[in-house]
Amino acid sequence: MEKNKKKSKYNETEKHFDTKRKKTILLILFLILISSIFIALTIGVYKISANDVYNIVITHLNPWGDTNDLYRVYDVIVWNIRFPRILLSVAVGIALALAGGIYQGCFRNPLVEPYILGVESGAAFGAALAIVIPSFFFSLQISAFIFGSIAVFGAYMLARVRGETPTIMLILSGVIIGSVFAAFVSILKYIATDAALREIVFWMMGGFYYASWSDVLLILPIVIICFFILWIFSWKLNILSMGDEESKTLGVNPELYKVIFVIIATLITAISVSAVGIIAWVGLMMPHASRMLLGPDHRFMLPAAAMMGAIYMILCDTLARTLTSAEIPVGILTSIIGAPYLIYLIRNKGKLIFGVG
Amino acid sequence: MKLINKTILILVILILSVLAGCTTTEKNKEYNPEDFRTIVDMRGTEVLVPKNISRVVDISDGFVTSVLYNLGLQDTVIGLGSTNLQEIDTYTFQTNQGENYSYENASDPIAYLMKESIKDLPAVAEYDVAVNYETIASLEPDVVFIRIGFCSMNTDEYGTDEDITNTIDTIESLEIPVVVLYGPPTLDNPSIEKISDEINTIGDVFDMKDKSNELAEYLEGIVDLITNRTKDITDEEKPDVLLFGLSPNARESGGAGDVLCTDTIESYFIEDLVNAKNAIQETGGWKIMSAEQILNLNPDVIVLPTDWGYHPPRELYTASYYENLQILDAVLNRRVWGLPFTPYNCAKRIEYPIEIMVIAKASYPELFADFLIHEWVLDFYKEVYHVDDETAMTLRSVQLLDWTVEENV
Repeated sequence: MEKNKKKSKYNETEKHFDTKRKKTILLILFLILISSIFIALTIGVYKISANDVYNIVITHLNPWGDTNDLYRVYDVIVWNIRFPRILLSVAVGIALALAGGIYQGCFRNPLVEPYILGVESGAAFGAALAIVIPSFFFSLQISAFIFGSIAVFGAYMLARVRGETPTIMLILSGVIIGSVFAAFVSILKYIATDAALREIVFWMMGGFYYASWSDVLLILPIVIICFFILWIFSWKLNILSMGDEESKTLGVNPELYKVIFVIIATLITAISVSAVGIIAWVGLMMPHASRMLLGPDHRFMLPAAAMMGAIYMILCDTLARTLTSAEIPVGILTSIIGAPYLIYLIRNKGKLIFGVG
Repeated sequence: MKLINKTILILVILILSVLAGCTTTEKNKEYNPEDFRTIVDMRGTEVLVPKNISRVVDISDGFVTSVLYNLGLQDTVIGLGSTNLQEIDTYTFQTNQGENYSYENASDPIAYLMKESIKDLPAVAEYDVAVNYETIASLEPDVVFIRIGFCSMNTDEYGTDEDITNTIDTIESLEIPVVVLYGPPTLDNPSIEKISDEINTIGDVFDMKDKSNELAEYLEGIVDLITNRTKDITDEEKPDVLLFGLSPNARESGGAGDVLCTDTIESYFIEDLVNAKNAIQETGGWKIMSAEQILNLNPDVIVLPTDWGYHPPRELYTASYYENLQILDAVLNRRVWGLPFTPYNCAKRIEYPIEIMVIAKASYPELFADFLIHEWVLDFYKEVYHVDDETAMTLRSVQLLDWTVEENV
């Protein structure tokens, strides 16, 4: 029995160092992601055959294809409603999962998620402000983005002591800034008219209902560029996650790289939140799931988390638009599916991931 | 490598199984101009609608369906914008003496009248959630009515709300005619004449404007009667009327209930139509107030709207959790009135004159002494829904207005 235990522990460690295995898993995840996109395109309340769906996509992607030949209703549903929505879920899934992985690595805390530095509350305040006082900002999205970023900047400045930014201070100041912005949102809700109140609640629940090609073209390239930057520097995150002193010893400036990582993670979180509202759990769950599969090496963990985030968002959004005749806010589904998963992690893999249990 | 091969095999099987359901591609529909007519909706947009309409999606809280019922066209409704018409509600509260009072089978009049046919209709939208375009497309409607201002499309940006504009554009891009109605709360100056415009726009779509105009004039006539009787009342004579929602949620949040401030259509009913004074002169919509704040207001009259459940006057008179408010003048003078059961009532439905009549009677009982709400409301239901006496009495019960019989008001 003891021998088996030792053997299993050895296998677990061995698994985490097997690069070939990790590359294989990344390739599989990539194939699943691409397949999920194409399968999700064929699923919807309105029945359209897969043949027609792919024909529409190919016609649009083919520079010589004539979209006038397509059946108009099918074309609108596949190309204008489903496809941008699926691609936006991919972008947001990648962004939130990636940001979660970065924050957890930088702050060396497994319970950190993309909203920890107050992005969520800041963006919610920005959105609420744009709804209650429409003349204040031209666009709700821009307002959400600006205040999301201000919240993180505020948290960072608050935590900075004598040229250093201790992790615990950063998390605490994030909580404080988040609470302040949450209180501001409550004030705006209090003074809002019924219509404005409904809009605030609607936005805060999150969803991909109004996804359009312009959203996709704005968000997806930024997320992909940020992904590659983070991936290139992911080995430095491995060093950062060992601690500030260790990083300095190994020649990595923890202050500089923490700032770079946090700014990029915040940018992709804020841009996602401003487009689709607040979607919880993805940023917390996916890095853990990825770590379980591939170990803590960020060079493999980050891309896996990003792809798993995208797949998870596609799954949740497909359920959100097909489970009932109306829509279900996707944030509800990510929480319903996510919470039991986290309970499972704590109960079964707590020691491995959180160091408890 | 084995793992990759297995995964690829599973994915290929999945994609093939999806492809297995292939059917032939549909062709774009032939358009015959003779089968269509042009109407102008409340955006001022010309909309091409079929001459024979048999499939209607009503994206409102039941307003359109109510009008269609009046016009005898209720069977054309194939999709709803809210599930409120499918809900039958109950509400219970406990008195100071520990007795439980229950109110059961509460519903919208249309929900009762169409209960068999309406319960299975798909809802293409829900409160606080966007419409599902694919569900609308799959229903293949001849026309979609969108009422801006109803609870799920409540907006202050009249005609310019980006999300609502996107929704309309997307449905139109599916080659479905969209007729847009503007409900009163979306207007800077709410007016019941706009509700009449909505009714007539619906009538116009079905080429039944004469009949729809009869309904609009009947409803406006009731309001005219009320405004004529109260127009000469001076500011000093006006009672303070508080619209006070006895919401359990408000109590859980530490308040006594919700008050309806000046930016609500109900405030317009009180001040502009009934010519009384809203006891709360703050801008905004529904706000939670504490018992102390309500005691400070001490209004002459309290009217109870539906607010997370139905609330009869008896609740404020006797509920244990309102013991502190039972010293209010309105409570001591028995001047607490309950509005009919009206959930999801952001933009008002065609029963709006009942609410105005109750507020008028509560505010000026002497001026409306010749009106007994419990009798008058039966005539209203008979006129609006063309029902017999027995059904009208049932409608009064499902609207939870039987207390007016008990108190003979």
